[in-house]
Amino acid sequence: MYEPKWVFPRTIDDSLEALADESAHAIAGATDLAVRIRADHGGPATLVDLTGVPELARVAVDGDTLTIGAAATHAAVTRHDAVRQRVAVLAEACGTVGAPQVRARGTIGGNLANASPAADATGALAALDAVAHARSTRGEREIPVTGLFAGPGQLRLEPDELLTHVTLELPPPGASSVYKKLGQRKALAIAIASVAVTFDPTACAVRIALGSVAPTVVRAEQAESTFAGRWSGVVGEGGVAGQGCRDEVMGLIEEVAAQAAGASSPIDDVRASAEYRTILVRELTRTALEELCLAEPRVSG
Amino acid sequence: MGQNALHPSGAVGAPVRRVDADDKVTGRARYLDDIVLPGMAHAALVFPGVPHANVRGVDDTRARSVEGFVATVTAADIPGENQVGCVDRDQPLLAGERVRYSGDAVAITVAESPTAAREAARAVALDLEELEGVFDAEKALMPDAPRVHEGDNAYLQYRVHRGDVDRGFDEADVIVERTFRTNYQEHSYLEPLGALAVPEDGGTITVYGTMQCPYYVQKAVAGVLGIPLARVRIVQTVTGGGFGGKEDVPNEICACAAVAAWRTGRPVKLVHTREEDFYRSSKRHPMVVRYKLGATRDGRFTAADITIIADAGAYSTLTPVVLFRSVAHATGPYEIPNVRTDGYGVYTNRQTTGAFRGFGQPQTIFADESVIDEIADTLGIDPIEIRLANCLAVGKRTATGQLLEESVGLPETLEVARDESGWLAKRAGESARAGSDGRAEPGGASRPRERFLRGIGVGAIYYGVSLGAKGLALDASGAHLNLYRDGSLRIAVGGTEMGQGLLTVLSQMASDVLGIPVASVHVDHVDTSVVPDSGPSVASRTTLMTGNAVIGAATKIRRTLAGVASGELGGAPDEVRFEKGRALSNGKSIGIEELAELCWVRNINTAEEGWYAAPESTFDDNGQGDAYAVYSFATQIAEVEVDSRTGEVHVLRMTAAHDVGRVLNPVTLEGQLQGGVLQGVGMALYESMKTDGGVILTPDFSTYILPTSLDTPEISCHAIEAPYSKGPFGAKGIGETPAMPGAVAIANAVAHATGMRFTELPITAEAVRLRLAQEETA
Ligand SMILES: Cc1cc2nc3c(=O)[nH]c(=O)nc-3n(C[C@H](O)[C@H](O)[C@H](O)COP(=O)(O)OP(=O)(O)OC[C@H]3O[C@@H](n4cnc5c(N)ncnc54)[C@H](O)[C@@H]3O)c2cc1C
Repeated sequence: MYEPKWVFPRTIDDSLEALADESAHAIAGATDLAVRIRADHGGPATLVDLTGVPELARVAVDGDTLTIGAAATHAAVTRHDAVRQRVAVLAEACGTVGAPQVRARGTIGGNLANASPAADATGALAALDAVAHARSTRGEREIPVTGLFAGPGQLRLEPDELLTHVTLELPPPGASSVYKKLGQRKALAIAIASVAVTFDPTACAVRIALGSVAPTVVRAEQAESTFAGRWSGVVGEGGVAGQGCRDEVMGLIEEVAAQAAGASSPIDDVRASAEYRTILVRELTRTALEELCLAEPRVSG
Repeated sequence: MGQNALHPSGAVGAPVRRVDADDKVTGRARYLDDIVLPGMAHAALVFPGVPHANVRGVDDTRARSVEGFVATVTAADIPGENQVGCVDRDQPLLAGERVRYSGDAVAITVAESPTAAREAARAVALDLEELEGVFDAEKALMPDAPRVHEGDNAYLQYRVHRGDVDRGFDEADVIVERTFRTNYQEHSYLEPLGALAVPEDGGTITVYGTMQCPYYVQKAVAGVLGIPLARVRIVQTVTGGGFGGKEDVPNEICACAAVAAWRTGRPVKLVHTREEDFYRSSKRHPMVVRYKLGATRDGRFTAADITIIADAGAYSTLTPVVLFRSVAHATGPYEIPNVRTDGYGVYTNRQTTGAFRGFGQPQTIFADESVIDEIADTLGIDPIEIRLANCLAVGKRTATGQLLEESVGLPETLEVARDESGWLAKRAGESARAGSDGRAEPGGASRPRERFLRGIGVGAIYYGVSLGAKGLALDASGAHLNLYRDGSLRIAVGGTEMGQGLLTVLSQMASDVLGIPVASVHVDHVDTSVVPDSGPSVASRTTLMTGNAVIGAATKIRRTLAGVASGELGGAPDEVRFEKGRALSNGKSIGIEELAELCWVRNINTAEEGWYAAPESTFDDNGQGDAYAVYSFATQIAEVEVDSRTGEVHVLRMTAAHDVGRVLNPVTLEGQLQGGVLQGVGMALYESMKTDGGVILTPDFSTYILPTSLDTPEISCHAIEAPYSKGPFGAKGIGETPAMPGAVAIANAVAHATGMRFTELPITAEAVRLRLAQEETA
């Protein structure tokens, strides 16, 4: 019968000590790990519980840098003012995770470390060019979120490495972002497909991350560069409201959305077919870009 | 809830709060798994992992070394008959020789904890010789298909033949023919199946369990133990939902626990995990329904030709009764002079299928109500108009030739649903015309494609209450009422509370007959040693049957009290009135508790038995006869919005109008309606059991998709009262009808919104989007 040893560190250093033991494994909200343990009828011999380490739960803004502790919950991130106002895509992504009970326990670190291509917070962080910070008793390193995954469930971390936090640069005023996810129902739904999109009109740039349509969360890089190359030309002086401009913008959006679909490599599974997923990437990207690029410029902050 | 309810003075008809509400809300209610007995052991089932195989050996060597192991029980340990078939005797309790589906239990392990029992079960090595299986009912009909049992896979057939179908089609100006397919539906009750069997003195056994039909369980347990019914006592524990899923399957669970308890001499508990429940519990039958309907130019139905193929799964279980109901009701609630309905029950190596709210009807309703809409479209007649023109009413005949003499509120349900939903304007597209929200008008198919398409659709149904002609032998119910000397009343019944509100409405009925407050009444869950075999709690029969038994017994007690009261107060005994806790006669009154005390002092009996048997019903070889004593009727209207980008169907509003005979309690009624409507939403849009060669790929609630509260539309409920003269206070059954018309109403609304008709359920976002993509390229 599975009866793990359960340890409760209070500091990051104690956590690292505990994780240096080969049989030890981190556990945060347990919303992924407990499900796996039940399915496998067993699990790691030692569980290192991160929920009692205050440093790991911190969400803070320092200048233009947002820092999110690995053990911050989806609920805490969704609630955070700076997140809501300046990186809506992340607030929205965390807000679609499961249901209130799951969001109250599930953490950002767990979402990343589980390495699921459907992980919602991970998709938003990928679109925000977030950087993950990992530590072990051997030292510390930084890995871009997009570089964390080798495949479904495969994390590019050593077993003794702990994700401590992620950082990202807050987008400048005038930038906006949105998360579009389609699941099989409106709550408690794993994404069939999702897109996380950020838009910076000043830099003429969009960043598009796709969830549930490839072995890992992926960025639609060709779509992003098509947009960057054409946006200023399409919009011109009068902004998106200008005569004729709207149609051209729509045309560009269609093209970018189609290229995003091209960046996906989905499979058939119990939730949906690859064919439907490809359509969804295009439609969700189109809807997201319409909302971001055709909106009246808003004053943010 | 909107209703034209009679406004009663007593408890019946009033929104009496559920008598079990406090216990359930506070967590005090004791469900099966809450019961812990000294010396109790735990059982788990050994599953084969394959759907079709000969069993050559069971080796529990490794299981014996699991810490806490107690015993392994195999078919050879069953003291009585290894048989739990409910209608046909085709189902062994333990698959000792042959596995016929992946949920067949080959053996039982017993241990000191549920975890150890499951670990031991996984450690049992099975020597299986795999056999080719058949996983599709239509393929199972082929001559060279593997056989699931000795005889033909198509082991069951019912028919309704009436009039001259060929002539009927000759008279038709328009004929529509289509084939419809529906999937499994899982009951998804909150409390999984479970049992606790306790061997007791004198060679008796008591089995506690979550169940709908304790008398079925009593028979199954006596059978496998080989002991008389008198030594088997079944106690129904507080039951967290059934929906038909706890009709027959508890026989198997309780019999497994009983055999394990008998073998070990200890109390043994067996509680399913959710996944085990998915694997082993029965489900709604997947059906293929070929439906052909003819109508004249003015919209009169002339003939229907219907073939139904029902996937029974590996064992017959309740398929005979379910299929009987499908066939008897297949034409929908309309008068059609010429009918040919043939229904087949087919064995496959898949999960067994049985009772599920609606009992074989939602599948054929999907067919008949879809085809009627197509006929209406073709003829340019409003769907509700064409239904009103053909629908059953007093003086009309059903497809089985039954003349309806009373209690037919169907036309009113159509009218009320139409008016309350704003049907006429929405169907014509007026309501959405404003367009300020960027929404398209209904009937979007003919217009340039907007992103959001709105539509409205209708479904109408009828449901024969209780068991009808194929269940007559079971169709009686009992009650035992005991009025104590302080005026309080305890009621024992044979019908089960499974969440539907039975305890409450029975308390209300007894309260009104005896003039005592509801709070003075207590109704127990079923104990088979107290009340005689009352048949199953299924088929919307329990309020009617048990209610009449309670009223019968209460009336006897009232007669006794009236005699004493008239002696004390003067006046004739049959003129004594019972109200608000007092008996009134001759201008004077006396408290009921004083009367009860007087009876006690004078040695007058105030405990009585009630018994109610269903009226005669008939069904001949051609399916003609008075199939059911009375019918319930309903109409539901669905309003949807389809997102053409994603294919999502959002149900905006459901309007449900139900003829219930008489509203006994508007709040519990509304609860029944809302829950049923939501099951219809699930069947229409979400619930899809994925299987592969007899293995379930979606055995949990993260992959088998039920609607959540966020997917729940506004539900507007309306009661119509067409009283039934033999019903308790005029009431008819209401258990099943709420779950019946909704799915097809949604399908019809999707057709109205998109111009696309779906012939398979569920209509997932993917199904809609891929169809739209096909149309774009076409
Ligand atoms: C009902 C339900 C619904 C769900 N719905 C969604 C959904 O809609 N979208 C979604 O994205 N997810 C969903 N999930 C999955 C899950 O809730 C999230 O992925 C969550 O973020 C996981 O966080 P956790 O803290 O619970 O992780 P845990 O289960 O505690 O851990 C998961 C894995 O991460 C590792 N880990 C945790 N923290 C760290 C760390 N700091 N450093 C290194 N490794 C670490 C653990 O060792 C483990 O391997 C759902 C889960 C459930 C049960």
